[in-house]
Amino acid sequence: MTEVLNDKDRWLAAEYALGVLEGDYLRLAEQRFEQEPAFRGAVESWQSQLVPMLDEVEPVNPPAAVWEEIAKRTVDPQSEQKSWWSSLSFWRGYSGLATGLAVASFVALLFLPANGLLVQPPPVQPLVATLTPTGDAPSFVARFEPDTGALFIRTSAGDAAETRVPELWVIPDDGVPRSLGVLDEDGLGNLFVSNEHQSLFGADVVLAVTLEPVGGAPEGKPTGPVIASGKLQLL
Amino acid sequence: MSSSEEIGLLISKVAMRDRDAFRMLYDRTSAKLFGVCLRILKDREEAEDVLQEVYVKVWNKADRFATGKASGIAWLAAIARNQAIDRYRARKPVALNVEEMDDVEDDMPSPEASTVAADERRRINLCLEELQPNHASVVKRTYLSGWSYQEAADELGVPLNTVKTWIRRSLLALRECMNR
Repeated sequence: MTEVLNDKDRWLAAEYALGVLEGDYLRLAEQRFEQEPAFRGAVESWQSQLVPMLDEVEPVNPPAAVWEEIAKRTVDPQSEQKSWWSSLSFWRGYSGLATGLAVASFVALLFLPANGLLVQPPPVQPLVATLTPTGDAPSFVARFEPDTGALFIRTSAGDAAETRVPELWVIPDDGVPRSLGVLDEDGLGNLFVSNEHQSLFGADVVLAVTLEPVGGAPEGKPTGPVIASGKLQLL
Repeated sequence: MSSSEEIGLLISKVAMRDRDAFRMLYDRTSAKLFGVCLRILKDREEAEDVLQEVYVKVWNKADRFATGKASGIAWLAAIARNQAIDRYRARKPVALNVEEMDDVEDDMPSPEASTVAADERRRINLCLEELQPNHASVVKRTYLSGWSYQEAADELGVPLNTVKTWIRRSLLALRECMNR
């Protein structure tokens, strides 16, 4: 899905990022920002270029009451209930193998049907994963949309080796990595996950990034070092 | 890890409902964003109000950041500026003459979209210096004050189309300079 922006679109994006639009033009730009990835990309590119102008704005500490109000307004009972489950520090604290098994059996308890087989409920909500680096590689953040099969991944730093490319893998319960595709050399990817691989996605499933020869891992098996990995969580 | 990458990572954690990360993000960025809101609104109480809205929005929309390509601080600044500008404009209803806005210098080349690393922080200032001084200050004042084209024209006492031409030329020159 590549929409091509014409000159008018590009000006609209630039002027929206600068903030000079009003009235109908502003509403049009807002709507397109929400709905069109290409337009949104053009706006975000401008935003990133213009934002250094804010350097000269003096920081001013807001009164404490502002945070208190924000804290109140961002608590919702649902998110509190699942926060221990989805919070990153939980996963970090429990990353050892033994506790991994304990978590797995807890998942089993949750989803164990009468016939005793472990079934993952098919994901309907988006899944996200933070892939934490091994060594000084960058972190990755991935988001999978079950309704479209789209998987977006981005990294905190574009620093991949020139002779090798980052490749993304899903590693389900059986421990066998399946390739989801090769990422840009700067670690960005908008991938489409095949139906076969989509069925492997669920909470707790591992995503990993390895460095592979240009063109991707030969024979579909990872050959390079794992530079980052993390578990999918329901959003 | 640079501070802008750190902010990006914090926002991604906020998307996963990490409240500690949310607090950290607030501590790291709220003074700057409050300054941005104050500059636009010039009213402390209103700026406090808007800042609140900004972080509630950050909490609710952080998942959108993870799939975008804005830098962390650019994403936050855009939310803060849009929210402050909305509030500012709500004070006085603006009648917009749509015909007047149309197609000034449409033969100008378009600003090609491209991604530039967000950590080239000083670069825009160097590029602004290359513009005619009065044009550079128009772009800067317009951006920092949250002016619309019409407001910039009123503030500067020049016709709308003149201001629009200045700003478009400056944006083009800026992008060219920054992509060099």
